[in-house]
Amino acid sequence: MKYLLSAIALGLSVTAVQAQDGMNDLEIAHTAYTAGQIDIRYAHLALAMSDTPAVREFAALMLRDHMAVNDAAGALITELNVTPQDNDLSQALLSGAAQKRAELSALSGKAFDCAYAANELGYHQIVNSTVKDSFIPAVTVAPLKGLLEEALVTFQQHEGHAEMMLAGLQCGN
Amino acid sequence: MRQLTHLTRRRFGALLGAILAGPALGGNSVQIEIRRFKFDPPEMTVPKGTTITWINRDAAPHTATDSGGTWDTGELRRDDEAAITFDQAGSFDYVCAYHPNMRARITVTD
Repeated sequence: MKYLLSAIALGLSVTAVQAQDGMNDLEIAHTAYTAGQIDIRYAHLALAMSDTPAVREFAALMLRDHMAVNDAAGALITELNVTPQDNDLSQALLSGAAQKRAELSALSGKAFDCAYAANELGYHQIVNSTVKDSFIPAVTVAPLKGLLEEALVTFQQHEGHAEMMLAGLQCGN
Repeated sequence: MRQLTHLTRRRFGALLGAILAGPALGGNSVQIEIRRFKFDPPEMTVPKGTTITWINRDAAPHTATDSGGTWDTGELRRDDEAAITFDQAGSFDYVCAYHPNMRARITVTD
């Protein structure tokens, strides 16, 4: 889980939390779902804070896609009749995201747009690395592995979209 | 261009759509799947009068939206489908309105 810990250190600004290695399927499911919920919260914040069309379009996309993926996850959880397990990594993500939202909420205008876009890019990069290199290889239940693989394709699209959004905002100028 | 149906996975809707779409009225009927953020096939050539049905297999919602603005499937959630009949020759580039890097083309011949 080194990638998510890096994310916490770099962009999600949470105190050091030791994630467990060898997470089980139910813990991975919980963390993956939580990561989606966090981005939904970021999107709601962006829609409340930004008037920039590119930012608002991206936020609406995040809402639409992450809600759809999490709905699919919920359906799978119901079908498998299991309960995802909360864990240290999920808690660390939630704590870091709360801090990041507080940081973003203190900004406005272009400063907000750039901070949101940079966070979205970094967040998706880290989440994608973690899902690809840690979660998918570790998961043992085929339907969950399939869902993560599908989610990864979605999130990789978001990463590319976030990169374009950030470039378009010309935050260095 | 006639947008004929916007079907859901529900069987009733599918059956109703089949009746309303009427691909059996003499035209051809073909299918394009949306899977893993790609239209499959990405390019298709069909004769005039063909009804094309898009089916979304992704969890993420998609659309098939003409870049020229003449037709649009509207939002397709997982396993939703929508059919459009092409009764004029031409070349139509289209995208997913939500994910514009998803691009494809339909060529309609006389």
